[in-house]
Order: sequence, then structure tokens, then C-alpha cells
Amino acid sequence: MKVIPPAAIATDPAAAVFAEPWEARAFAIALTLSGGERFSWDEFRDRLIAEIAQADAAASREGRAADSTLGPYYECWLAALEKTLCEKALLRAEEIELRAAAIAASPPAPTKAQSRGPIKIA
Amino acid sequence: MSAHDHDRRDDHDHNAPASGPALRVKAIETLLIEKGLVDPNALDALIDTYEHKVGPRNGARVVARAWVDPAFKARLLEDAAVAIEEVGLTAGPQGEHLTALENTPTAHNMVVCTLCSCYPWPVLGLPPVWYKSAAYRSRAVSDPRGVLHEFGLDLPAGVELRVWDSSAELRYMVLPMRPPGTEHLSEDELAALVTRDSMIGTAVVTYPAQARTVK
Repeated sequence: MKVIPPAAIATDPAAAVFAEPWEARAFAIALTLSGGERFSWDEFRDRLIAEIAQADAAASREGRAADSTLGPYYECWLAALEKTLCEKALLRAEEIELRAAAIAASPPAPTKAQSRGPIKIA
Repeated sequence: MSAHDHDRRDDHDHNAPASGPALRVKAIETLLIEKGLVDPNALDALIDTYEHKVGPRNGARVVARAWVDPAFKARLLEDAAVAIEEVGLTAGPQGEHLTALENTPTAHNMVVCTLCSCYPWPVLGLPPVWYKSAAYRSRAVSDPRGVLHEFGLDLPAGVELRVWDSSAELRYMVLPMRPPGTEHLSEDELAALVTRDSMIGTAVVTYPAQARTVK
């Protein structure tokens, strides 16, 4: 039997919908693609449920309360998205790895020009 | 558990996802755009919609209408997905099988999705963080009254607490009870009293509106 120790539930009513921008992107990508013929929402959701069950089980195994505030929810979402994309042959796991490495190696230039300070102080 | 498990990357340069999920999402998004599978503008529009346009104010309008119009309330309880069109909402994704659960003096309803995060998007927007947490998903079932207590809600012993598990097919919203002393309020004023949590069932609507005390 799965036993999850009681954890307080963070009940902040003003909490943002997305904690970080990447969560919103991952959300939108899955929603957009599941609306077409690429894959169905239910197919994606089944993967999401599996990822969440794994995360819960891991937390339980390690004897910690599954985190109630910084839960790995969108990390589960992202894992489900990656697996769905690969299973449907829309992307390959290797090309995701390669692209991630390439982005990490050459981060895009900041969009906001940075001041170098006054050119002269008299 | 090691300390770095919860190490949140709080780099302030949002243009440069150096590692972790932000980097992977960026990689996936750029690849999908190059293959013509997603349109970045469509993603922006979708995020804007769910961050700013679809939210619990929609559900509040539904609740207020039900409070002032008994015939609408009957239609809402009969088929919520159809009834919400009367207040200008469309069921759309995640709302095709919307069901409204009426709170009464003897029964209080509370909604959870034990497996993931199914939620009535058209009326409530995206779920709050706690709705998706393992703690809520498990304890809403194992100790629902304890959960309500943490939300500052203690139901009288005589009130039956019904916990509903959402699924892909069935999305629930709670129709909270209209608070006493609100007979003189307009529909818009009533809608302003209705909170998101009252439509999930972890709160009740109060008048005058009460600021939640954080313990």
C-alpha cells in the first residue's frame, strides 16, 4: 500500500498559475499538439498520470512527504510531453539532447542592451 | 534526500536557460517550430489566455447567475456544459462534461483529481499549485475534513462531506451556497464574492467577503 505521510497543503490563494516561464511553454506545447491529429489529449494524460505516479512513488520510497509546494508537477508534465513526442515520432530523443546541448553552449544574446556605464566622468 | 534536490535555479537571465527543464523545453520548442509543428505565436496566445483570461471569474459569474435565477440553476445542475453558454462561456477543452455539484445545508462537495490534475478549465482556469500536489491528491481522500480544516473550514458534524474525483471525462465545479444577508446585492456584486476555492469546495462564500487568515 502506498503511504504518503501527511504534508501540509500550501493554500496560498494568490499563487501564480505557472511558477516559471518554462512551465507555461511546456503546458502550451502539449495543449496545442493534443488538439490536432498528432496525438489525443487522453494519450498525453495517460502519460502524465504515469509520470505523476512514479514521482509519488519515488517520494514515498525515499520516506519523504511528496512536496506540497514545489511539487514536480510540471517536470512530470515535461517528461510526459517528451515521451509522447518521441513515441509519436514527432521528435527523436537524440535531437532533443543535441539541441539542448547546443543551446546550453551558446545562450542567445540578451535582448536588452546593457549599459556599460558612463563613458566619461568629469 | 540531499540538499541539492530542492535547489531552485533562480538565475535572473531568462534568455539563457542554462540547464534543467527550462533548457529542455526550449530545445523541444525550437525543434517543433522548425518542423512546423507548432506556431510560437499560437503558444503565446494560449499562455496569455490561460494566465489572464480564463480564470475563476468565469465560474463566479456562473455561480452568481445560479443564485439569482432558479431556472438557470436547474439547467446548470442538469447539464453544466450547456448551461454555461448562457453566460457567454464555452465548454471547449477540459469542459465537455462539466458537472455542477450543489452545496446544501446538509451536504458539502469538494473536488480533487487523485491521479493528476483534471480541472474544469473553462470555469476555473488552471488549477492552483496545491490542487496538483501529492498532499492534496491523497489527503483529500484519506482525511478530507482535516484538509478543510487547513483551509480554515470546519464543517458542522451534521453536514455530509462528499469528495468527487475528477477524470478526463468528468470535470466538477462546486455550486457554493449563497451567503445570508445578500438579498440586496446585484448579480455582479454577488459574483465578486465568489472565490475560486469555494468552487473547488475548500472554502465557502462569506458575506461580507472575508480575507483568508493564513496560519
